[in-house]
Amino acid sequence: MPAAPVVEWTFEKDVLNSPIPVLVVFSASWCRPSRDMAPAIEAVANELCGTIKIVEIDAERYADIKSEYAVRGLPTSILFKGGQSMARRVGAFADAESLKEWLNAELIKSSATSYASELPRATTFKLSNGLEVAVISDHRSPVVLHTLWYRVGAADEPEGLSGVARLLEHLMFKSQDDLAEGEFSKIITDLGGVHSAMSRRDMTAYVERIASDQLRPVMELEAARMSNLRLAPGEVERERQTIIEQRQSSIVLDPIMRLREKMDAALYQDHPYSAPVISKVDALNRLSRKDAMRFYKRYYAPNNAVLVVVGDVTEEEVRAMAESTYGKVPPNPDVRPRQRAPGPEVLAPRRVIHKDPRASASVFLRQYVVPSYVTAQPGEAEALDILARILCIGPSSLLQHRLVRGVGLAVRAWGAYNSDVVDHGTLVMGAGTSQRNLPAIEAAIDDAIDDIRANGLTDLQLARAKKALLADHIFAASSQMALADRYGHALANGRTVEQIEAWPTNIAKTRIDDIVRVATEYLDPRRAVTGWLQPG
Amino acid sequence: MQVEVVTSPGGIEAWLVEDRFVPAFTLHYGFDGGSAQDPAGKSGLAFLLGSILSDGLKCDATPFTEWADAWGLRHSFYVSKDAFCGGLTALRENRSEAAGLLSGMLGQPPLDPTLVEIKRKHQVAGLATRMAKPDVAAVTQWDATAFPDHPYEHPVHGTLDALTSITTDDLDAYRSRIFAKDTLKVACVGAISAAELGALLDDAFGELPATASSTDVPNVAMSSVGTTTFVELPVPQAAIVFGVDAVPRSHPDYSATMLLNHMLGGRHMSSRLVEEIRFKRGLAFSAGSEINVWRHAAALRGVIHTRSAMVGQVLELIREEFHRLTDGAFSAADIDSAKRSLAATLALPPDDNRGAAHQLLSWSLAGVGPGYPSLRQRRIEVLSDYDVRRVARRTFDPQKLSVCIAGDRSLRVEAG
Repeated sequence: MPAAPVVEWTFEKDVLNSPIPVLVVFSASWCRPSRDMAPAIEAVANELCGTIKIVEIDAERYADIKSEYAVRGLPTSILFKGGQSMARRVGAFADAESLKEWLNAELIKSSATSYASELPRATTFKLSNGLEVAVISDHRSPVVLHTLWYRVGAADEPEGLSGVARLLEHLMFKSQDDLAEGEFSKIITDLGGVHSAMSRRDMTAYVERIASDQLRPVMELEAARMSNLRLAPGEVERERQTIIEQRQSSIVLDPIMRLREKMDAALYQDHPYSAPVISKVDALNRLSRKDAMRFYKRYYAPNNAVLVVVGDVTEEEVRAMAESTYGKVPPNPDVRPRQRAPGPEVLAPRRVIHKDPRASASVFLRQYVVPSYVTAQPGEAEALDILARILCIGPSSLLQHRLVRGVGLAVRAWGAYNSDVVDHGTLVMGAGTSQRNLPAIEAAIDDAIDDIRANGLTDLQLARAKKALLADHIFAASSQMALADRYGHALANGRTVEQIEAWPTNIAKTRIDDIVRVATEYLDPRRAVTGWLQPG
Repeated sequence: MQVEVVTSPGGIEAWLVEDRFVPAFTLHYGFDGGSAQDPAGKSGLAFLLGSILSDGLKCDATPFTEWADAWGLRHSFYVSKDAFCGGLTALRENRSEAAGLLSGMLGQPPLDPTLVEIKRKHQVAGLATRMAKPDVAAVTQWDATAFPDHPYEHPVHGTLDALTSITTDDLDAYRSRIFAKDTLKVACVGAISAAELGALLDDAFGELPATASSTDVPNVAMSSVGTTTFVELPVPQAAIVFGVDAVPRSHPDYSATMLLNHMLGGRHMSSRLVEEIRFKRGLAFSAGSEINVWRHAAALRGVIHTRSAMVGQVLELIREEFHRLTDGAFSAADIDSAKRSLAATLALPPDDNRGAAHQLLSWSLAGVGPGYPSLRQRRIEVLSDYDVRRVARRTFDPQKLSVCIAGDRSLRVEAG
């Protein structure tokens, strides 16, 4: 399909009202660069088949359109979408490839950033006992999500008490001064709510979702168990067994989790991130009721917690309720900022090989120690987010191209940037294969990283990664839990609402140079552990 | 959540919840079919077709997945026993790209034989990983025992033999039989107006054939009543799948069954199973049950993981709890509080647009109207103690339990 010629009276219909984007090329027959560009235009019009329309306008004949869009040099290409001109370029494109790349990058870039400004926002305040509160109003339905985040997790466990953070998370549903075992859950259920809890390396959170007119009783319950836990005899023993069952199903039966546990130990060495969140059975068996209570008294306090409420409430309502419930819990003067051991030393590449009879296929994993949003210099974490996306996340990643699609080295490839932690984050890459070719996979991954360092990235790669990141960020915001998670994690880690809400703008600002710089500095083999999982 | 029934200019119907909380929308759609329409001996076909279509090539030779990623579109196919579905999430501005993606993937693009082989290989590799998991192995075995000689006996992911025998012609035949406008159901939630959705529907689905030609699937009752079967796996922690026959959503006793399930093993931490198995004895991390309603059968089922040595005790506790229900060992006050709590829990909407669109589609596929939630609430409110006790006696007879255990060799004895 050659580029369609357009006459003046169809400009509105064919360009401004077109359902698909339109590239308008202002050219003139006497203009050599315009003529030279014609084959590229035709090739791209054919290739983009229906997703974009390309029209050429004779700038001499349609002088009024030319002046309306302030066209000075020829050729000038203007991209229209939804009646608006969204990008322009003066001068010819060298070939079809460069035209297509420019078009794709501009199309993709268009407006995800401006959409981010429409995202729900949080307001914050602090109670006099130190409890930080964030409120995100969401009036879609009469429901509220109440989440309480303690600044304590597996990485805060003292020597010899591995597993106490998770054990305590479970014990928080046991007996309290005024509640028998199981009553907490029963009251929430009777009120029509659902609840859960989670513990990670740096935090422990308690979550309730309920009709918004039941927020007060939930707050009363959660505030009460901040200081009323008692624990009856036998409760610790039974809950310990439950966690052992959980460890069996989520770690022991999963060969990849086994490998990851070993890799963490090798990578982090003396740093507390080396400890598993669901600790090993012998460590769990050493924990006593006294250990759990001591840990509870030290860390569970309003000045060591963040409350995030999302839903059909206002800031004023939450403030009034929080003051009359949480506000009555005294702060703990012993709460101090964390003093963690320094991160793992950057010394030498580490390697773990795990053979597992339950593995049905081989898996490659690589984990680098990189800055997190807390430890990074400004802009570095955003650059790492984009780098991870380009390198190893999603169907267009370099790993998909170099390992899976059309190559057949691996069956699947994936990755993640674990960025919302108090100390250093990690960039993780993985690939699963049904062959015995882990060395070839490792070489291909190293090649991909070297390539970025040596040759940089294209505008199109950058635009795609930004669009995908921003789109996912926007999509997640339709979930109250994802919003609570976004704010709860970050605030508990010591970041601010301003930092959280500046993220889309910071992503949009990131340049190729920034990404190549973090790839060069942080994807250094001496900062990494490589893991091989093999059947057998 | 206000559901609007939208009809496109081309006559395609969809349920819409227009909501502007975020500048994006999610659209879920499904065709009658699913794995129940996999031809004999070719189970896993529908699932395989989904993975092939996702990675198929657009006319400019870009894979659909990659093209979608560039536009920030998220799409995946999912296959149940009864339906072949897809879910798509897009920014408000990318409606035309979303429609282009759907019409491209569903519009019978030629299947690349190399891609078919790659995806077949992936699915075969995935099978081995899946079947090494005790819960998957036990549920698969449970279905096979419950529904022999019925399409429901076959796993959605297929079997090694079946996957090996699927040809490109089989895949082509399936999609031309199943992808059609007359069985298409659509649900959409998010920042999109009725007019915008109408245009999208026509662009996405307008070219599909008018009518599907699916094979008739008969209704089926469980044939595994009162049986215990065993799958041997070298694992230290076993999975127990237990279940009884249940009534479909349209049956007058359905709401009583929901209520009883809420008391027994509903999704909360104060159910009888959680109380007895987790809290009192520390035998398992989670314990619950749910009603699985398929188009042609229904069962009340649960899965519990526990260490091998405790399987016998857990089974005994499950039977005791069933017995308690048939015995009517609960008070009128228990029923009342369960009614209030169930009604309130059901009134909690899904947490995000994807969950909401998925839930609406499942109701639409099941043939219930958009007014189903309020109907369901009313039916729970008006339940009488008499009916609850009658349904308990009929449904929860421990003699009728069908159990499948996947675990190590020592458990063969438990299975009898």
